[in-house]
Amino acid sequence: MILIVIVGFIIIALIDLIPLIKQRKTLAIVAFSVFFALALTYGLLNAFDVEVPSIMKAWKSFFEWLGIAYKVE
Amino acid sequence: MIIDKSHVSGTRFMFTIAFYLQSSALLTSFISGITEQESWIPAIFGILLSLPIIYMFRTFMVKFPDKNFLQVLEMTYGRVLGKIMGLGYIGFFINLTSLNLLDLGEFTKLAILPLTPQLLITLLCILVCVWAVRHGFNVVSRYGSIFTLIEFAIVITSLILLSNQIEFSNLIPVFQLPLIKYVQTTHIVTVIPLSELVVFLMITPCVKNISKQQATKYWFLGALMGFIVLMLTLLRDITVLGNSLHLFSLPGMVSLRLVNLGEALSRIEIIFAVGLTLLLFFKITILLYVSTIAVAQLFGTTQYKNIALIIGVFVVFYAPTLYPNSVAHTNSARTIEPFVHGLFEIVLPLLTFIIAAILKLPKDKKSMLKQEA
Repeated sequence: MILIVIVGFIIIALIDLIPLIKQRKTLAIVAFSVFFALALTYGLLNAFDVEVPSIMKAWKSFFEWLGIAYKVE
Repeated sequence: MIIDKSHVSGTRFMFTIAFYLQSSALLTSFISGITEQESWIPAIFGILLSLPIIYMFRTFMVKFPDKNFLQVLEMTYGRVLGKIMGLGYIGFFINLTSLNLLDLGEFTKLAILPLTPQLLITLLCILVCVWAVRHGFNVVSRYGSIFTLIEFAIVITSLILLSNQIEFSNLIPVFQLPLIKYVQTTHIVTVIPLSELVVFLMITPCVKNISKQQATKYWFLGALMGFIVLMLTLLRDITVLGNSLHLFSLPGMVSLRLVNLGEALSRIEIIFAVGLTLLLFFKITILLYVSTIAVAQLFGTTQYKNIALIIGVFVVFYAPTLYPNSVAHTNSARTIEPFVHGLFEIVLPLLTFIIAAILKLPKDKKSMLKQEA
């Protein structure tokens, strides 16, 4: 599974990153790199079956701290 | 800076709005667990409350026809704060894409492909969505009109086939529940399916050659078509399932399972499954397109085609981290999501609208949409 994830990301880099580097599109390379790092991190965490905390839990805690959330019955 | 140079007609834009709203038919399960068979009342209130919000979105299009919402944020709040808010909206759009991809994966696994790993289902869906996004909004919206008509046909056909099982008495009694439940459900309906049309503010630069009146017509006619399908779906489920509506996570599917006109016309819930898959796929494509354009806008690049795939793959791995199962998702949709989504769909656009009006934006009035002659 880990090997599949890594090979998949290498393929994505070959498809999209190489043309950006050839065209010297710096801003696009930065955007691509940010999401590449994020996706690779999440992908590897998924492959290693690591539980990632949900961002929705953070929103839930924030709105409950503000006191604006509907109650579950 | 124009990121996507493709153009669509106003009519196609209208059908895209309609189909986008129709694809929220799955979300009726969020409200049926709260107000049960009275859900049709808050749905009507929610639709009425969403009308001024849609008018606000239409006014953004009229005033800033060549600017997407992130550009409007920069014009209104300045470069730094505008970009920070833009970052928040990117997170919101990606979150929306992930939630809908999660719904599609869970639904497909539950109803059609139970033995297939969910990750594979979502990955294949995203790859097709990315293919459409890379070809521009023209391709993304191309089948909106046909899909809208197909969905209308599915809903009307299901109503005809279930006509012998419809009990209008299931719509009453009304106002038997505490007031807070009607407020909660109205809030959910206003925010989660209806005000999500905020995503179309990223697409308005692609719509060309329309007047102010046409913009009003396309926004409201598109919304009306979506409202009709949402209401018909909800009314069908309530009148057929009655008291048991709140027990099911997919009331539409259960309603269609009840169709039984001889051996040839049974088990037609597969039509619902195929229809819903079409709807969700289209919605995810729109959301992925919006997310990609937003990222390209924030980073100041026009090369959105080369970042669509990596954003899609990120969404595939990010989506399962949001909720462990559909019960948690439904729970959150009833309690927290109305406020989270409301912030990005209503509060911030309204604030931007007011500040833009105070600052008399746009400064260049010639760029605004014109009255018809």
